[in-house]
Amino acid sequence: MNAQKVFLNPFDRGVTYEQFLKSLPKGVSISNHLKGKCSQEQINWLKTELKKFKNK
Amino acid sequence: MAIVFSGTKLPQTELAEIQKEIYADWGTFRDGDVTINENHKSSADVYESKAVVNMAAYSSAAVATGSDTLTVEKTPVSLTKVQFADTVDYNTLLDTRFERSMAGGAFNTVSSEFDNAVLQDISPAISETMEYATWDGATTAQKALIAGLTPGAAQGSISAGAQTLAAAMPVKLVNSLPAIILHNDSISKVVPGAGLGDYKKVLTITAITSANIAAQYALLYATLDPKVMKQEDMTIYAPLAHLQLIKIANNSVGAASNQNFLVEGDNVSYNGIKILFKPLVGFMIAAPKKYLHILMDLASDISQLKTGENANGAETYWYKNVQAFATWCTNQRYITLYGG
Repeated sequence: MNAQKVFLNPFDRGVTYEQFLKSLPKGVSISNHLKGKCSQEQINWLKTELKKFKNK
Repeated sequence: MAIVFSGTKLPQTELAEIQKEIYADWGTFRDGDVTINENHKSSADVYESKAVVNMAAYSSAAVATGSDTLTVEKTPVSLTKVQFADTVDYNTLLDTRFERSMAGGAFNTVSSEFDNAVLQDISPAISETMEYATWDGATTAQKALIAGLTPGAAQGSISAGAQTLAAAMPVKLVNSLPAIILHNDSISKVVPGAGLGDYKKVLTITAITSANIAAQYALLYATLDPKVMKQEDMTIYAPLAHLQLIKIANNSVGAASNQNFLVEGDNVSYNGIKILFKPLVGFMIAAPKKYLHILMDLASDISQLKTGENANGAETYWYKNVQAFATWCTNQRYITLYGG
């Protein structure tokens, strides 16, 4: 049985981008993963942020 | 009859006025748009204090030791000594208009016209350079420290966007205010010592245009700690281009046009907070002016230019401007950094 990954809200204090990316289930997009949990504005900004984070 | 001319044809007249570069003065030093602290040579201690008191049930008995705390923290801040200096060889001005203002005698090559029309531009150029240094740029070491912070979306962590902006900052000998707000070693932070600043950042920001500038300022405004709202010197420091975007937004055509910003001549404000336009790149700072500091020996050092003739028979001259400089921020928890 696969262990369920704990949902990590990237907007919770102390959650780093690295931790959030590691917590993403395989094959699930950021938008789908955060749907209903974060606002569309938050998701859009986060996607821009993560692009910058990955390009560092 | 044909006129035969042999030789080089030269211009016979010239524009009387030498056409000058614009040297911007954004008032940081002249008007004291941040707190200018003088009489510091190499380093200065910055003290911050805080009192925490507890309400207790009344008692007529003698006052016993309680749990109130009066905290005083001291952070040493180092100033960096910088200079603007070079030599001038007036001989290169021979065969130009400046030759006319040189005194008779082959030794005399100092051109009074050059001094008055060109050399005097050095001071405003230095002022402009110091303005830029105050608002944009970081030392190589500071850039590395900012790059080394762990990014995250929530308050209490730097955004990846801020790290990108810091990486793109020009390398300078001193740190700008945004660079110091992002990373500093204040003892007065929640986590004292070297690390991320205690600033508040604005979440879910986007590239600012005339179409969304009001919404982005609303985000900044909503992020402010309510405690700073009544501070008389509360100020938004914004990039220079925002003035144009604000005016365009205020004058937009159509039924949906709203005057979100108050523009009265050179005075611009948003919801009652004064906006000052500075050469910031990507960042906006909203803070009481008293929490943003420049430490200097003398503010007038910025315009003091010494000149002289080089020694040992050299027919060249030198000029030099020397300054001790550092930026600093206090009460960081009340500083909001858009782009942070």
